[in-house]
Amino acid sequence: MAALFVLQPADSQAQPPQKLPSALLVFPLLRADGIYDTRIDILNLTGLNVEVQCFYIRSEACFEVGFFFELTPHQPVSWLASQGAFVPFSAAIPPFFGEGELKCGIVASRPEVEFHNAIQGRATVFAQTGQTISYGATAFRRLTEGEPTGIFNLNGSTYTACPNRLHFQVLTDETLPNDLVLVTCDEDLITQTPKNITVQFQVINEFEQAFSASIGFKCFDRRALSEVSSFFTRPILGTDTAHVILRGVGGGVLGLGIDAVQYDSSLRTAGNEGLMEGNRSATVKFPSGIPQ
Amino acid sequence: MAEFYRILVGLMALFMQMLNSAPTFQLPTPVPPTATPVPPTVTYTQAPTLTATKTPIPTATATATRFVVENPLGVAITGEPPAQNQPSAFLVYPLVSTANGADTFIELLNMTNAPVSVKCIFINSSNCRGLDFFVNLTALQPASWTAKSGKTSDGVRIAPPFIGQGELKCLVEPRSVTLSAHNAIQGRALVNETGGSTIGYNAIGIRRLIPGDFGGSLDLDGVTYEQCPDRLHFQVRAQQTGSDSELILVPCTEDLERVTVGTTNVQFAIINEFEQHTSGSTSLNCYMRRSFSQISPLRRSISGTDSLHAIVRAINFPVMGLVVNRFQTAGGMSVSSNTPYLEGGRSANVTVP
Repeated sequence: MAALFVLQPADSQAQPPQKLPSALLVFPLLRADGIYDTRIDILNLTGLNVEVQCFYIRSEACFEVGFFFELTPHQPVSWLASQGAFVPFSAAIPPFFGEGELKCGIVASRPEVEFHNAIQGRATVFAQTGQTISYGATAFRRLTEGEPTGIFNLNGSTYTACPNRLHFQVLTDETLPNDLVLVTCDEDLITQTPKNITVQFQVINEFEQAFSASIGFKCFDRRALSEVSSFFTRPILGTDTAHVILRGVGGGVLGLGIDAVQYDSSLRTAGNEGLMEGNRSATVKFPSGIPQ
Repeated sequence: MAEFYRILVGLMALFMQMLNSAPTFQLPTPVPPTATPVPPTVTYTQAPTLTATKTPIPTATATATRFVVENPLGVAITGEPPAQNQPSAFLVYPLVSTANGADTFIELLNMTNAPVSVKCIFINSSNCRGLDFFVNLTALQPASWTAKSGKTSDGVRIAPPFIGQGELKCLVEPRSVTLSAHNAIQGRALVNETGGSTIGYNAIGIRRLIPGDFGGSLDLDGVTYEQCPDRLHFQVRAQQTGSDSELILVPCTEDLERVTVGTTNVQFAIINEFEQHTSGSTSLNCYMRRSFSQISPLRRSISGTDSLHAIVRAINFPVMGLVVNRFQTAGGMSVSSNTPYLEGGRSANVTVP
């Protein structure tokens, strides 16, 4: 199984480039529950006005809450998930409670690619004690001109595709909250039908010894590596770090690692953005209809 | 006949007037690049008011003018930035620290099914000198060590100990000329500071674009390797009571063979939440780590809003960087990395011994 997994060629080398002005952003982890809160930052990287449509998707029952806002040229907007925000002359951003993800897409005012690829974002999940998980949103770029329809075809021709595999270099200490967060690349927010995904894992330790396992989830999953399989622990893997390769079966996945370390007698955390390999098609469907 | 002539002249005048007033299809006018350093003062380009203006969204039928892209730095954007979070040939870790009780856990990953040789160089900010070593990774192998000891937790030495603060650059020395032999690695660092904070970030990756040998020099020209980003965009919290983040910059161009250090001015364009612009500048040689309180346009008292869009561009050569976000929560200080968004591309060269 492990050898087959490794030797399977990636679908393509054209993985979605990150950190560039983009049309669709996926924030895989938000948390606002009284102990944790999340600061969400979204930035207009262009000299154009842009309209942004976003959806919070709660992990519990995959419920969504949608909203719109506008950004003037180069404008940054930032809000706490627990409080939402009021963007002057634009729209109200509702608060979010619980754990889940955020997807934001551009409603382009004109068909040119420049009007689609405009935004970037990051989220900082922090506890009242100061423990912090900060990460850049996973971003997809529009590749061809066209009117916005609310349908993001992540197929490598209209938009950059979903990655075929994710790679993480993770910390293996199972006594600390070293977690993986997974969300689906496909999302149908029109019919509200979350997709069930099976995820294959391959874990390679520093001695190049490989282990494999799989899990299933729907819309959102967060678990420790040791909860993927009981042998994904420091004593069994034998090294401090491991190379985790994961691939969705029946659909692409996006994700985030959470690194936890004990240093100077205190527990600290950090976000671990996944590395991407290959591509595969996926579709994100937003209900269209812009409030005028 | 004279009447006919008058009518003809009138029609021609009307036609010329229509021509002059007709909408034209105008591409964005590139602003010629200027290398004039901004004087080290903060300048307001717009009076701060609390009345944000809502500019109407351009519509497809409004005019025939395509669009006009505002460019806060006034320097034309050319080239392509390097795509991130992908298997790469060259990695830059902008922050490695063992100073003041800190230590850095460095991670390096082979993302390919073939073994790979990696040359790494610590560059100390105090003297800009390099300390180089090699790491060999088997297929898909992860490697990790602490910078202070150079060892894994099992005591296996991977790198020489690094004392101080600076950056780490790692590059693939390929075992074949194929592209996949070059674009093989990715990396990450966890900087553990005293006081309970950890800064975790992914290294900035640059990919090889064409197959070929490696000759000891990285031509980041958009042909052999991807270019360096022309400018960096950060979304940051302005410095205020309880929040003083830091900006770290390292040069893209570096001659580590002759240890010659360049100097450049670095320009900032800062846009607040009301779209008001301020600007400023500072200087950089081989390393800069500066708190926002030392960069006046990033202070809340000057910028006017909590959240800021900072655009950073160096004059003489491109730079890469990282912001360390710091803000106070109810029970402690939240500290995290803030990696930049990249725009445009500019050629650079890294020479290694």
